[in-house]
Amino acid sequence: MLAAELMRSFGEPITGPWSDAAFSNLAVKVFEYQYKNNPAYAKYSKNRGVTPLNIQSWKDIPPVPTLAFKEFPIISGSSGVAEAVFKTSGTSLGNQQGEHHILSLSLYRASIVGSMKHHFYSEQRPTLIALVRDPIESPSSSLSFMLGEALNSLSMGRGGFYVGQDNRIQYEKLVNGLRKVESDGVSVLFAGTAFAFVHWVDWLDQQGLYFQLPESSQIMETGGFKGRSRVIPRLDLYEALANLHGISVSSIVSEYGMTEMLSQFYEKTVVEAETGKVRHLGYRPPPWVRSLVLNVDTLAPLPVGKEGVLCHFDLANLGSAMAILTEDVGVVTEGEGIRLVGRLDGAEERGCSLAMNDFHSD
Amino acid sequence: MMSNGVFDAYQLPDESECPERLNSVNVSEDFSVRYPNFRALNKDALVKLLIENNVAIKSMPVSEIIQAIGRVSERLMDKDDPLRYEALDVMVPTAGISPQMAETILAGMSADWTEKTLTELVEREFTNPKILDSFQRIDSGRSQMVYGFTLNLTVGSGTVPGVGVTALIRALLLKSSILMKPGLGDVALPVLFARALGEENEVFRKCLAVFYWDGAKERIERKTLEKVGVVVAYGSDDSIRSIRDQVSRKTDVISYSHRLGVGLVGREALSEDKARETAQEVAMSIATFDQRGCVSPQVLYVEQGGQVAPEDWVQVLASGMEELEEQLPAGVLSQEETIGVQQIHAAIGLKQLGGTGVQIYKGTRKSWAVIFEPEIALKWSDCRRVIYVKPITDLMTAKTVLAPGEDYLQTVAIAGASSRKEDIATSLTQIGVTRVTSFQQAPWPKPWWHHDGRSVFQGLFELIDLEDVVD
Repeated sequence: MLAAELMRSFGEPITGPWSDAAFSNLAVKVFEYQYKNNPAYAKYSKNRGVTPLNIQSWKDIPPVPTLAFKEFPIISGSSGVAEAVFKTSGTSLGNQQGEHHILSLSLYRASIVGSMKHHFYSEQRPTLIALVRDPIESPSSSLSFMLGEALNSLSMGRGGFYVGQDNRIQYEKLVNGLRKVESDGVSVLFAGTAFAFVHWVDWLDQQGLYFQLPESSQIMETGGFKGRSRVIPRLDLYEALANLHGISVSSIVSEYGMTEMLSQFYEKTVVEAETGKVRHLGYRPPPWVRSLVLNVDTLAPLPVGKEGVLCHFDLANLGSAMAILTEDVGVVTEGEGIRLVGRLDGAEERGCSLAMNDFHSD
Repeated sequence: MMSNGVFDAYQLPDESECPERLNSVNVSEDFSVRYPNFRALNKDALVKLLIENNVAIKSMPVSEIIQAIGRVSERLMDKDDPLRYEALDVMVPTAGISPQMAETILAGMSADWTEKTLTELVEREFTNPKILDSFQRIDSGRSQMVYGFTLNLTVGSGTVPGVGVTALIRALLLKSSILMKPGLGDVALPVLFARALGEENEVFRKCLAVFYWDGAKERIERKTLEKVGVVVAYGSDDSIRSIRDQVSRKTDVISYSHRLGVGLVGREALSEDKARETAQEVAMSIATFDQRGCVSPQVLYVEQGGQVAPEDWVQVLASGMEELEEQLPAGVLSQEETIGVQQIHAAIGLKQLGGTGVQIYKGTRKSWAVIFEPEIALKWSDCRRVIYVKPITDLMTAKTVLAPGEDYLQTVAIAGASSRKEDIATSLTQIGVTRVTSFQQAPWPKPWWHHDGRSVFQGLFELIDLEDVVD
C-alpha cells in the first residue's frame, strides 16, 4: 500500500536528497492515486493535458492553489474518514479560512518525526517548550499538532505548551518552565511563531529578565509577520532572542510550513567566525519534498536562481494534493534550499476595502 | 510618468528643518517615493511649531480658507495646469491605477473640494458658518463658537486616492494645524495639495505638515503624541489598534477601518430590458477605485424571480466588466496581486470541475473575474475587480446572510427594489449598515455623507459656550 511505502521511506534516516528518479517514482504513484481518488482533480489535470498515462516526471504534476483549500475540501480518498481538519489562520468570517482534511494522521506523524528528528533530535533529546496552544485545546492548529507530536514522540513528554486558551502567552508559567530547564541543565528546544516571540522579547525587556539556557539548546522560529501591524527585521529578533536566552544566533532555526502542506522546511543560521556576519543558509526540505519556482505571470518553471512563486511537491500530502501552488515568493538556490523573499519593497496596502485586511498592513 | 520617476512625498512648514537624509521606496519598477528619514526628523520640534503657528490659521476667516482650497481644486480640474498633470503622473504608480482611473478619481474628488461645495458643506453642518470664526448667538442667553483642535494628526494608511485630501480639508475648515501621514497609495494628492495651498497663502506654509513614513516600522513617541488634540486614523483593524496603543488615553482617536461593501440586485432590475443597464451600473461601481474603496461592492446578492435569472445575469455582468477594460482599465497588478489572481482562477476552476454549480468568468487580461456561487454564505475575494455573485430568494432576507459581516459593513448599494428600499434599509441598520444607496452613487458619496455613521466634523472640534452674564 502506498501510504505504508511512504511511511517507511519517511522513517529512514535523512542523509541528503533522494535521487530524482527515486522521488519521481513515488511522486508519480501519488499522482496516480490522487487522479483516481479525486474526480475534480482528475478533470483539472486532464484539462491541463496530464494523465497517469502520459506523466513523465514529478514536475508535470498540476499544482492545486492554496486558495482552493479555502474554497472546498481537497480530499483524495473517501471524504467521510478525515482524522483531523486543520485550519489556516485568516479572517474570523467563517468561510475565509482554509481547511486541510487529513485522512491519515499516521503519515503526517511520520513526516513530522522524520524531519524534526533530523534537525533537532539527532544528538540529544531536548525538552520542548512550545509557545503555541496545547493541541488538545486547539485541535485545528497544524502547528500545535506538530509540536504535540514532537513532545510525545521525540521529547518523551518532557516540556509543554505556554499559550493559553485566550491566545495569550502564559508569561509567568513560561518563566518558571525556562528557569527549570536552566537549573536542570537539560537542553531545550524552544519553539514558537515569530510574532509570539516578538511579544515575549518585548515582555522580557519590560521585566528586565533574561535566561542562560543549557548548552545545545535551540530556538525554532516559524511564521513571519504577514498581516501584522508591527514588523521587526528578522535579524533584530534573532539577536534579541539569542541575547535574552544566552544562546548563539546560530542556535536559532527557522521553520517554513503551511497548513496546506504536511511537511516542513528548516533553515539554519550561521555566524561567520571571522567577520561575525550572520548568514541564513536557505530553507531545506526533507527528501520527500521538492519545489519549483514558477514565473508569476505564466506559471512556467524558472531556472535555479530566478525569483518567482513557489510550488511545492510534498509526498506527505497523499490524502489531499501533493502539488501545492503557494502565494509565497522565493528563489531556489543551487544546493542551498529555498530563500524566501519577504515583504516587497513598496508592498504597503492600498485601499480601504476589507479585502485589504488580508494583505500587509502598515 | 514623471521624467525622473521620483516623487518627494513631503511638504513641511517653512520654518521647520527637513533632514538631509531621505529614504525612498519603490512603488513600481521605475518609480520611487522619497521621504524624510523618520529618525532624523525632529518630530517634537515640528509638533511644537505646528501648535505655535496655529494662531495664524485661527485668525483667518473660514470663507478665505474655503476660497484658497477652492482655487487649488480648480487648478486640479484645469486641463492647462501643470499641477493637474503632476498629480495624475504620480497617482498612477503610487496608487497602482490606470491613467484613466486616475483622471476619473481626480475629477470625482476635486468636485468635492470646490468653493461652492465646501461652502455648502459648512452651511449644512453648522447652519451659520460664521460660528467657525467667532461667537454666534445660538439661543437666548448663549453664544457659541466652534473651536477646532489646535493640532490634528491624520494617519492615512490604507486609503484610496483623494481620501487624504478630504481629511486634510476637514481639519483646515476647523482651523486646526495638521500633521498628516498619507498612505503610500494616496501619497500624491495630499502632498501636492498642501504644496499648492502654500502657494495660495503663506498661512498654509505654517500650519501644514504632510510627509510619508512607514507606519509598520516607525512610530511617533508617546510624549510627542500627547500634544496632539485629535488623531484621525484610516486603515486595517490591526493598524488602528497599533495607533490606539501609541496614543495616550486623553487623546481622542477617530478611526475609519476597512469596510465590506455589498450590492443587492432586486428582481425589478432584472427585467429583460433593464438587465444590461443594471449590469453596466454594477460593473462601474466595482471597477471604480479598482474595487479598493470601503464603498466598493465586494459581493452581490441577486434576487431570484426576475425575468433574467441570477446565474444568467452574471454573464451580462461579465460583459459589463470586460467593456470597462477599455473605458476604465484596471491598474497594473503587483507581483502579489498577480499571484492572487492566479490563485483564484485555478481554485475556482477546480471547484467548478467538482460539480458545485460554481461558474467563473474571467477578463481577457486577467484583470477581472465574476464568480457565481450558489452557496449563499457571505464571501469576498482579496483580489481587485473580483466579485462573488450569489442568488437570494428575497432581498428582505439579506440581513440574515450579511449578519456575519456585522463588524465590517458600511455601504450597501441597491438596484431595483425601489418600493422595498426603506424596509430593506431599516433591517440592515440592525447589522451595522450605515449607508444604503444606488450603484451609481456608491463610489461617490456626497461630501456631507456620514462615513461609518459619523457626521463630517464629529470629534474634530469643541463647542465653546459663551453664556450671558448679568453684571
